[in-house]
This record gives sequence, structure tokens and C-alpha cells, in this order.
Amino acid sequence: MNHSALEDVYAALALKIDELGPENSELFLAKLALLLAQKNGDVDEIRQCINDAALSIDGAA
Amino acid sequence: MRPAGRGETDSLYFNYPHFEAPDADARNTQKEVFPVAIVGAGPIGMTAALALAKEGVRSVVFDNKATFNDGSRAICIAKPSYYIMEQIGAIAPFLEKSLPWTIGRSFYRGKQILEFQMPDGPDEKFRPMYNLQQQYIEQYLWEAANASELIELRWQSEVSGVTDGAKDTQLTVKDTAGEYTLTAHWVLACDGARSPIRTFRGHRLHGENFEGRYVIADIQMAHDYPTIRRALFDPSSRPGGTVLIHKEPDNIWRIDYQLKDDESRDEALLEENVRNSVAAVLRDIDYQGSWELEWWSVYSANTLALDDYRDGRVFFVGDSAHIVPIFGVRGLNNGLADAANIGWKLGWVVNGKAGAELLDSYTPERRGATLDVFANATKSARFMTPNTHGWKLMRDAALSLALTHPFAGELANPRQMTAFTYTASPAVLPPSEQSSESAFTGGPDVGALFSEVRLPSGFLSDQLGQNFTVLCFDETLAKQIEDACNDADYLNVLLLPHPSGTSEKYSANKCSAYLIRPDKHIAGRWLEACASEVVSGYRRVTFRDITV
Repeated sequence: MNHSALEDVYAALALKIDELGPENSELFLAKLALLLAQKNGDVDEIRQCINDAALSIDGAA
Repeated sequence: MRPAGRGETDSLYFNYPHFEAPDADARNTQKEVFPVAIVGAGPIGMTAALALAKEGVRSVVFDNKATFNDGSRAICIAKPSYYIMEQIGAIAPFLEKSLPWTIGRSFYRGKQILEFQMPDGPDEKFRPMYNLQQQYIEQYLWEAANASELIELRWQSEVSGVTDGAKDTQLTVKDTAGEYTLTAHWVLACDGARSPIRTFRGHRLHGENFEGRYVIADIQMAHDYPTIRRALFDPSSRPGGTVLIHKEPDNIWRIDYQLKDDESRDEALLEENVRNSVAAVLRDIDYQGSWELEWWSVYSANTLALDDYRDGRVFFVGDSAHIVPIFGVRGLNNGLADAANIGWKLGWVVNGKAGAELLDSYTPERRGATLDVFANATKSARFMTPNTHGWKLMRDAALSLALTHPFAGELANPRQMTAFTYTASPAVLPPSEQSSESAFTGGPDVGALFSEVRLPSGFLSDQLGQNFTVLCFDETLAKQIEDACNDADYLNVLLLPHPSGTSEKYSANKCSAYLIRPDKHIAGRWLEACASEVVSGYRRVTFRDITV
């Protein structure tokens, strides 16, 4: 994905989160993760992404 | 603002001059009608005066102060602005004093997540960015203006009215000796963000007021770090906030931090609070030595502009026409580009080298540039200081991910400051006038700033004079263009070898031609040029529409 495509995705996500409101963002992002996982289809890759996304988060091991 | 006990212009490193008001007897006996009156002797007004002087046009410059603007204010000068300084003959002290830089580093919670390098290379004459305090910028421009016989500077002179007549304007001016009127054909309002001329001409800026407020503080310290812009996201000194750090000449460092929504502006501006905030930032960057507070100020991230930069014989230039957020360093640089743009155009019209319609291209070109700045600045502001849950969540996700995945750090790359391309302007050629333009596979687009090339000796820009230039690669074509010109055409032909570094960078055939304006923007180009098309193109964009 090139830089401007990445920026487009970034903006689309921010706008959708704001549209749904803070109370719904967790549910929305979890659904999005499942949809993207379904499209990707590679369980090992998805597990790797799950671990990567958990890095650098306060309180995480 | 400055620390307690120090006056407004009481600097640790800069001596502010004191300028007297004009001699009352001399100005009373002078009944000259000036071609151009410029209101405001800041960087924008001085640049406009010097651009006009380059065209041999006389101007009088008024400023209500007795010295330069207080404080360092704008400090980043981008490459396109250095071309302007070079063109108006003021570049030498800038190159000597300023600090060039190409690299920026971004940190998230103390860890580096991105190092970006701005485009640069052996073909470039100037570096992408230079840091220099605004009072030096004003001093160097003043030195050049003061040396010019075509520029008359009147300090401590307040313009309190501008009234249009049929062929000129009457300015009401008040100085220490009293009030008088002065006649000028044209007026450039370079009188800043709170422009009195804009107010008494009844115009308002339109756009958005963003909520973000920022403190900028300059300190002096012997800090050993190269000229690299640092952005600290979520640092210990300002949890959840963003801090920017720039190096300036004379061991001065700029620290820029955002205020939280619940921080009051007045509280934040108290000296003790500025000192505490700065000390916390210095702990973040591990600086343990001594430092002195020099100057500080506060600003908001607004995107505001006039609908039309022209009102009859008055043109609004710089901050009087637009207020932009500082992200992307476009405030000063955009203003300098305004001044250079109206400078050459008004010069050409006053000289009779171009038709008066050329002046109508000022608003579309420069307001277009401002709207482009707004789009980029809004994007930067959303990353630097996100103001909703969605933008903040995404920004934090990108920063957190960037610690382990460099691609996400690229979202923190500001990609700042390239010159605006004047596509929708009457002062560049429409596609219908450039039969083979669409066939180009590269090279600078029509309306874009030219591309620099290193020649066997010097640079391409050294060969571009203050007139229009046709860049071509074929001797016969060059001769035909010269023959098609008459005495009223201020068009220089520059013949370069083919193949060469230039022909390659401009994706040019042997028969190609580029028409380059005095401000080095491309007015038109032809992959297969014929002389009559080039010369009539030149006459069209200078509004002297005469058949060849």
C-alpha cells in the first residue's frame, strides 16, 4: 500500500469512528478486524497481527 | 513576550535598530506620486518593494513601528523562498547566517519512530529548509531595501485611510509631525494578520477557527544536537500532547507545545509556567546544562482567507490576506510567495511590459495556494493535535504501531512545503494553446515551479533572468523564436544541449520548449514546439495578445 492510500485508510477510519461515537468504537474496530481476517484467510498471519497489535500497549506483557 | 525586567525588544542576541520618522520638511515638500505604496515593512512588504525595485518600479513603504517586529516568530524558510530572496538580490546574508536542514525525527514516548529526509540532491542549489529568526529575515531585507534608491522607507508612519480615485489612490498617513495625504497608483496591504487596511476597506477573512492553541518559546542554550527538527509525541513533559523542537542560529532553540483544552491562555503565558514547561521538555531531551529564556508567544491554528485578494487598486499580501496554521511552515513562506507574485506582475504592468489583466491572475494563483495550504495543514493538525476521539484514537494507534512497524511511522511524516502549481490561472497557458503538452512523459507541469538542474558551471536558475525565458534545445528553433520577437517582447531564449541533464529532467525532445515566467513557474510547454506558438503563448500570458 502506498503512502497516500495509507493516509486515505487512516482518514476513513477516523471519520467512521467519529461518526459512530466513542461508545461504539470498540465494537466497530473488533468487527472490522474480523472482516479483514475473513478476507485475509491466513490464520498464522492473523495471529501474528494480533500479537503485533498488542505490542507497546501500556500494561501489556 | 520577554522575561520580567526586559523590554519588548530587549534580546539576548539581537540589537533592534531604532528608525526615526521621516523628516517632516522633506516629506512636506515632496509632491511625488508614487507608482506603488506599500503598507507594512515586515518581511512581506520589504520583499514586495524589492521585487518591484528589480523591475525598476519605485515604492514608498510605511510602517507604524520604529523597529522590526519583536521576537523570532517565523523561523523556517523553505527552498522556494530562497529562490525569491536570490531573485530580489538579498540572498547572501541569509545563506551565511541560517541553518540548513533536511532531516526530521519523530519520537513517541521517548522512542524514535521515524526519521524522514526531505528531498535533496546534487542537482539542488538550495537545501529544502533553513532556520533563521524572523528579526534577521527582516534585517537582511531591510538592508537590501535601504540600499535601493527606488525604495523609500517611512517608519513611525501609520496609514489610516486608503481612498480610490479614478486613476490612483489617496493614502492618509500620520507620523510624529502630523497627518498628510500621499498619492499612489497602487497599494499593497502587507499590514499583517490584523490588517487595518482590510478592516477599513470593509473586508473579512473567512474560514475556520481551530481550537488548538500553542505556545512558542525561544531559549538560549549550549545544546549539542544537529539541526534536525524533533517532534515529541506524548512525551513525559506533556502527556497526550505534542512538542516540536528546532535549532536556530546563535544557540537559540525553539520549543513549541500545545496547550490542553483546560489550560488557560493567560496562565500558560505567565513566565513561571513557560519556564516550567520548557524545563520539563529539556528533561525529555536529556539536556542538563544551563539555559536562558529569550522570548515566547501564543498562537491558534486558524485557516482563514479573504475571498478576493484584490480590492480595486489595493492588493492584500501575506497575513492580511490569509492566516494559516504553522504546521507545514507556510505562514511566512506563503506570504513571501504572495509578495514575489504581485511584485513581478505589478512591476510588469507599471512598466508596460504586460497588460493590466495580468493582475487578475494574482488572486486565483495565490488564493489557490492558500487553500492548498489549508488542506495540508488540516491534515498535519489532525496528526499533531487530533481534536476528536476518532482522529486521536487513530493517531495513537499509528504511533503505538510505529514503535515496531516503521510503515506506521510514515503517517507522522509532515511532507511539508512544495511550491503550489498554478493550474487554474490566466497567467499560464491552457491546454488548447500547447498542442503537444499532453505528450510529455515527465518534467515540471504547466503552472509548477521549474526544476533545478546542475549545469557544467552553476545551475539552471543562474541562467534565468528577470524576464520570461524560453528553454529550448535546438539552435534553429532558438533562432526562429528570437526572430519572431519584437522590441516589446521581454523574452530571453536559453539554448541548452540535447541530450543533457536538463533535457532529461525536462523530458524534452530536441524540438521541445518550456516557457518560464519571471517567478520561475512554467507558463507553458511544447514537446514539439514551433516558434510562432511559443511567442504567441508568451504574449497571451503577458496579456499582449498580438498575432505573430
